[in-house]
Amino acid sequence: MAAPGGMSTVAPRAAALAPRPWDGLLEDVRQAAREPVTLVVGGVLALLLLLFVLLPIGAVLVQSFQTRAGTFTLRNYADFFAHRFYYRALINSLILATATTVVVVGLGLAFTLVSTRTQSPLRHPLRWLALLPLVAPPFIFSLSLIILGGRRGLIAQALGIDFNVKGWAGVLIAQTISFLPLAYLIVENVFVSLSGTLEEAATDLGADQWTVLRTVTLPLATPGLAKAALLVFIMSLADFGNPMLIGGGRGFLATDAYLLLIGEQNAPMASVLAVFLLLPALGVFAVHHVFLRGRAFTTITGTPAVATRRDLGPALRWPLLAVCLATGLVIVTTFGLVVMGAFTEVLLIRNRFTLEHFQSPIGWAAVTTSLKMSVGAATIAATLGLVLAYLITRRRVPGRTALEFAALFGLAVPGTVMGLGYILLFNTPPLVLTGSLSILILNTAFRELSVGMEAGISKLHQLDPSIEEASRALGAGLLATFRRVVVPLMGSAFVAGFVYTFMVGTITVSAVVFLVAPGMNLAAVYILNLAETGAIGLACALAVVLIAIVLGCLGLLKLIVRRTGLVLGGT
Amino acid sequence: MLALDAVTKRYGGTVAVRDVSAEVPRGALVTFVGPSGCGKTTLLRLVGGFVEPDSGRVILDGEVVNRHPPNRRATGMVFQNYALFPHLSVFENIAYGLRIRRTPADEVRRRVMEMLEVVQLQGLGDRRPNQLSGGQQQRVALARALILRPKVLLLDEPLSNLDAHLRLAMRDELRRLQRTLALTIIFVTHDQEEAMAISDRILVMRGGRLEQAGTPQEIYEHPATEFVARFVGQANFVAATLDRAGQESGPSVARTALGEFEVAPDAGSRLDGAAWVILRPESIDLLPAGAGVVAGEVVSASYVGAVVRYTVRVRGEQLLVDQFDPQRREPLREGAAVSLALPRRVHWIPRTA
Repeated sequence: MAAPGGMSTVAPRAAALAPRPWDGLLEDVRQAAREPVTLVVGGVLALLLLLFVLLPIGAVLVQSFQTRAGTFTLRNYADFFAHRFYYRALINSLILATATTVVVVGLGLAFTLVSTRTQSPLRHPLRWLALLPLVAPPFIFSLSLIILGGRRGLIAQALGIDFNVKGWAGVLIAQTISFLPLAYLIVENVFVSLSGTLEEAATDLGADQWTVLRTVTLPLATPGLAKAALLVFIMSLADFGNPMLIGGGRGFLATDAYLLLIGEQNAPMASVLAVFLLLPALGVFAVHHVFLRGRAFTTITGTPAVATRRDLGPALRWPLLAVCLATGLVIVTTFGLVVMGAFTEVLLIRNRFTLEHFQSPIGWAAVTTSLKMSVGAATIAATLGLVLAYLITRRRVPGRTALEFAALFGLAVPGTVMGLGYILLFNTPPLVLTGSLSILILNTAFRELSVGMEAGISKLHQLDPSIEEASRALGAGLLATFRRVVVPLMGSAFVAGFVYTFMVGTITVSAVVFLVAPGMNLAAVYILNLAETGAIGLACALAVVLIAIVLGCLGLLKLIVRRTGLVLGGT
Repeated sequence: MLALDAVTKRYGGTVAVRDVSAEVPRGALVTFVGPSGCGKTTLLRLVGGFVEPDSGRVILDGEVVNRHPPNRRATGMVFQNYALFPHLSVFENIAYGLRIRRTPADEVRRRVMEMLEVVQLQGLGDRRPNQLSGGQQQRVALARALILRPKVLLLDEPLSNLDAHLRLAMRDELRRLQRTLALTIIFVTHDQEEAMAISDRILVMRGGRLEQAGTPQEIYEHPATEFVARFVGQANFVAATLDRAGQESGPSVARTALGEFEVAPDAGSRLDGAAWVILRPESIDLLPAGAGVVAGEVVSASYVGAVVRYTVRVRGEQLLVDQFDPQRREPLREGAAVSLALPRRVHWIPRTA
C-alpha cells in the first residue's frame, strides 16, 4: 500500500501572495512586449487621440488663461464675471438647460407611461410621433417655429397680432422637440425592463394604480430618469443651432463663444465661455463613465419578465394622453411646415407649388461637401473605432482605459469646445489645417469615433474570445487572426459605426461652424445661414434633403441592429 | 512528452496555479480535475501558451516552451464552447490551420476529407457551424485540432455542453480515437466520474495546487487527503489512533470507536498516531440486526434507483451505507435496528487538529 503521509504539498509562499497595485500594469507591459504589433498600433492610436481630441481641449483651457499676447493671466475670468454681457450667457444657458431638462424628461415620462402602461390604441402612433424628431437635423424645429411664430409668421399674420416666438419660448420648444426622442428612448427602456411582477405584487398588497406608480414604479425608474436628465441637460447646454436661430439675440454659451471668436476675434473670452461649457460636460462624463460604469449592462441583458400589461386607469390616462397628443401635434406641424416651405414659392405670400428651391447650385454644392466630408469622417471613425475596440477588449495594451476614455471624450465634449480647440490648434504651424476639407473630416471623425468603438466593443462582447484563441492555437499569428477571424466577424459593427458617423456628419453644426471656410460650406451650416437671412424656402428644401439622407441612414442602422443585436452608443 | 516543472501563475494577488509539477507520458490521457476555480483551466492554458507562467518551466518534447505563443506550439486545443469560426464552413473551419500554413489546396482537401471521416461527419463540410448539433460541433472542433497532428491535444471541459446521453457516447468515442490514433491528451473537467471513466492518470487540483496524482484506482482507493477522498465518490471518515507498535514489518492497527482495522504502516512516522480511516459506503454491508459485527439504527434513507443510501447511526457515528439492487430486499424504515459488517483492511489519512 502507498504511504499517503508521504504525499506532500508545498507550503504557500505568503510573500508572493500579497497583491501589489502595479501587478496589473506589469502584466500588461510584459504581455505587450511579446506583441510589438499591438504596441505600435496602440501607440499610433494614442498619438492620434492626443492630437485630435485631447490637445484641442487643452488648447481651449490654455487660451482661457492667456492674454492675446500669450502670457498667463486670470484676467479673462475676472472680466467674465465682471461684465453682464459675458456672464449672462452662463446664466441663460443654465436656465435654459434646466427648463429643457424638466420639460423633456417630464414629456418622456408621459409618453412612456402612455406607451407602456395603457391599452390606448393611440399608443403606437404616439410612440412613432415622439421618435419622429430623430430623423431631422435638430435645428430644423427652430426653422419651422420661425415660419409659424416669427414676427411675420403664420400666427402673427393669421391673427393679426404682434407675436414673436423668438427668445426663451422659441428655444425651449425647439430644444424640447429635438431632445424628446432620446429622453423617451431611455425612459421607455427603463420601464420595459422593470419587472412587471413587482407592480403586480404591490397591487396584490392593496395599493391602487396611483400608489403603485408613486411607491414602486417611479422609485425603480429613478436611475433611468436621472440618466436621461443628465444627457438632456448636457445636450441643451451644447446645442448651437437652436439658440442661434431662435434665441432672439439672447446670449447663450455656445452661440456667444462662436460670436466672440468669429465676430470680435476675442479668442481668450470665447475660450472662457467654452470652459464653462466643458466643465458640466466633464462632470456628466465622470458620472456616466466612472460611477455608473458597468451598470448599464444589467438593463440591456435583462429579459423583461412576463406579466400582463398594466393600465393606469382613467384618472391618469386621459391627462397623459392629452399632453402627448398636444406634443405630437406640435411635432407634426413643425415637420409639415418645413416640407411645405420646401415646395412653396414664398410660404404665406405666394403659395404656389415649386421645385425651384431644390435647384440652388450653392445648396447642392454644400450637400456635396457634406457628403464628401461625411464619407471621409465615417471611414476614419469606423476603422479607428474598430481597431480601438479590439485593442481595448482583447489585447492588453498598457493604458487601454485611457485610450477608451480619450475616444469617449470626443463625443462628450461639446462641439463648440472642439471646434474652438481645432481653430486654436490648427491655425498656426506646425500643423495648419484650417480652411481645408480635411479639418472638417478629422473633427467629425474624432468626435464620433466612440460610436464606432462602442459598436465594436458591443460586437466583441458577443464574440467568445476563445474563437480568436482557437485561431492562435491553429497556428495563426496576431495579424492573421485579426484579418481572417476578427475583421469578418466585426463587419456589422464597422458598417454601423460608418453609417452612424456618416449620418451625424451630414447634420452636425456646433463644431464645424467654426471650421467651414468660404467655398467649403456644409449643408447643415448653410441652412443656418439661409434661415438667418430669411431665405426660408431654400433652407427648408435643404432640410428636406438632409431629412431624406438621415432617414436612409436610420433605416440601414435599424436593419443592422435587428440582424445582429448590436448595442450602439448612447445607452 | 510534456512536463510541468514547479509552474506558478498569479493573477494580481490571487495565485491561480501554485508550484505544480507533473508529467504527461506519450500516448496517455491525463485528466486535470477539481472544483471550479482550482486552477485546472489555467494549467491547461499554460500548456497551450495562452498564459505565460510566472515561474517554473513548461517542457514540450524536451524543449522549454514558456515564452512560445500558442501559434508556435505543437499543441492543439478544443475549447469548452468549441469556438468554431461562425463565418466559415465546417470544411474551412477544419482547414483553417492548414491554410495558415499555406498547405497546397489539394492536400488541404485530402486531409480535411480524411478528418471528416475520422470524426464521422462525411457530407457536412458545406454546413455552417450554427447548422450543426452540439455533438457535431464538438466533432468539428476535434477535427480542426487533430488535423495539425498536435503533439499534445488539450481538451477544456469538452463534454460539458452536451446532454447526458451524448456526453457518455462522446466520452467513449474520445477514448476510442485516443487509442486508435495514439493521441497524447490533457483533459480538463470538474466531473470526477468523467475523469475516473476516461483517464489513464488523474491530477486532482484544489486551490491552485496539485492535491494528488495517480491512476483512477489509486485516487479512489488510496486518496491522499480528506479533500480527495470527498471529491471522488462518497466517504465515511472515522477518527482513529494508529498503533505505532511493530510498524516496521507488516500491517499496523488502527483503533476506532467501531473497533480495530488493519492498515498500512505509518511510513512517515511524523504523526502522533491521529488518523482518519476511510470507509466507502459501498464497502460496508448492511445486515439484519445481530448478524453483523456492530449494531446500529437507520437514521434516514434515500432511494436513487440502483442504490438505497442509508444513514446509519453506529456508536455515536453516522455512517453512509449503500445497499445495491434494492428491488431484492424490503426497504428499511427510519429507526429500524440493523447491524453492519465492516471491511477488515482500510485506507487511512493523517488527521490534524
